[in-house]
Amino acid sequence: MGSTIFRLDFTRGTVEEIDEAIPPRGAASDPSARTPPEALPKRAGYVLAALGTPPQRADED
Amino acid sequence: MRIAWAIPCVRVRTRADGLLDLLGSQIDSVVLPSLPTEIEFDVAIRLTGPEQDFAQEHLVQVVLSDPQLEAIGTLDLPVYPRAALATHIPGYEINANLGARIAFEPYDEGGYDLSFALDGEAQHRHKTTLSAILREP
Repeated sequence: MGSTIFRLDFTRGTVEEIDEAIPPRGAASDPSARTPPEALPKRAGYVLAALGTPPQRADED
Repeated sequence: MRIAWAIPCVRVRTRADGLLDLLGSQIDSVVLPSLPTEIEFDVAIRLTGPEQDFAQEHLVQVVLSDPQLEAIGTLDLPVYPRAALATHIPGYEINANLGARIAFEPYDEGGYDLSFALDGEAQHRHKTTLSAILREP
């Protein structure tokens, strides 16, 4: 069993499969299996954050 | 088959045991010093359904729209066939976990919507918005 990541590039209109699987290190409940914080990617020139969302638009159901 | 959830986050990592690690969840904004700037973020997606639904490949259509609600593009995310594990309980649904790394260039401030369809059928519950905010990060 595996899971998959695809890169969807809307600038270039391309879809590419990415192979980044983390090797198994233990059961799902094993804390050692967690990805360390330093594995978070460093983004160039921008910050992804949770700052809030706009009110729902009229076309949304 | 249906989309159970779609969660935007900083990074999704796949694991060999079929699970996903979600890092920096849940994001709704990107702060940038200038526009346009190419950005990337990830969306973790879980699909679920009866075992027979996973016998053939399916497609998740991902639609990106700009703050004026105009579609920037639609890209297809394949869902490969898979079989239930040996430990599968008869009658239970099975699932597939996918990561979508979204790359695009916001060219204006405002909300960029991601919406999803499964084999052409819209999945309205899972629309998500990433707001582009022009400010020094």
